[in-house]
Amino acid sequence: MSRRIVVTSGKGGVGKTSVAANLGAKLSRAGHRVCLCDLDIGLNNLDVVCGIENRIVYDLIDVIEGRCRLSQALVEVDHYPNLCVLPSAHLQDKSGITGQNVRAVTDKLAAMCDFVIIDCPAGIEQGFHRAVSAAGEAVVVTTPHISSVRDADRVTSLLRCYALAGVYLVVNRARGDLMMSGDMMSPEEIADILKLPLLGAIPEDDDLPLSTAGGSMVSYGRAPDLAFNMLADNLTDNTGEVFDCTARYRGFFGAVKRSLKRKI
Amino acid sequence: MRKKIELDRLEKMLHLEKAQAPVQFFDALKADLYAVLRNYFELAPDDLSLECKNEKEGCVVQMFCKAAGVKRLGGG
Repeated sequence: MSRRIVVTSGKGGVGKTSVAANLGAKLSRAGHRVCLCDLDIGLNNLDVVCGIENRIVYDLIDVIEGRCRLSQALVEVDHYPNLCVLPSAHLQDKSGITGQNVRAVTDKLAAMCDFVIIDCPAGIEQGFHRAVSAAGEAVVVTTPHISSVRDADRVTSLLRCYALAGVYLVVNRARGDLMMSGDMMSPEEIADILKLPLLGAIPEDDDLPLSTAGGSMVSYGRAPDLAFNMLADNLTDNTGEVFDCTARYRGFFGAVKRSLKRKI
Repeated sequence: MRKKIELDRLEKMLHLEKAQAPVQFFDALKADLYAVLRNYFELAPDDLSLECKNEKEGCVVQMFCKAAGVKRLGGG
């Protein structure tokens, strides 16, 4: 049975789109058929993160308004044969887009794929509710910053009004060096505050913005790559394992790295 | 440690936000409770009071009610 997972956060800029794209990529590499559905209508960026912005012919709006078939709007992602994207559009007038017609599209996607990962717009207005009503599960993305966690808490309260099978937490941009020095909340502490099961932790790494700039997923072997692997495994197999962002800052060499990071 | 300060701030903020209610909230709640209780007790509106305390686990609502007597239920 297909799983429909909305990736949301409340606060903008915490990494919803990056998490959605890389999670989808890892799931597709594991052999699952995955569709990334961009429901951020107007300020969409899933196409840019996946590197398909020059290959879009039709989008979600064309499908909803009957100008094309769903399969014509799906764009495959390079190097990920089981992964495709249903892109969104830069629309200012979204009055014709309702929860019902979005749901109809995701129903068709669910029939074709093992995972439908929905990129939710920032905020808690109509776009958020449209995206969540099309999903069966939710991943709340936050960073270890007070404003982000506060917004994640608000979103979590709203998600409780929906009959979702599961709501999980992913902590993005976690600084292991600051956690070691007691200057930053750990993913476990954030999960405890928000009362959500911790699905994954993604370390802060230069590779993520650099790979996004190049229109590709995170580089193989780097810390975020390992973190996303563990995240995908936890989602599918319930391993309970979360990337340890502090591991590389432990011991003598870890202390040296922390010290250098502070000085530079 | 900075983290402890941040955690304390965050917990207080989230706790307060969950416990916040508009002024009319308790008036509406009191009116509804009064409407139910007066079916069972001889009660005037001023005999009912509500107290809401914010605790770590959430809101604790206590109701105090002083009734003159118990009403007879049923007809006949």
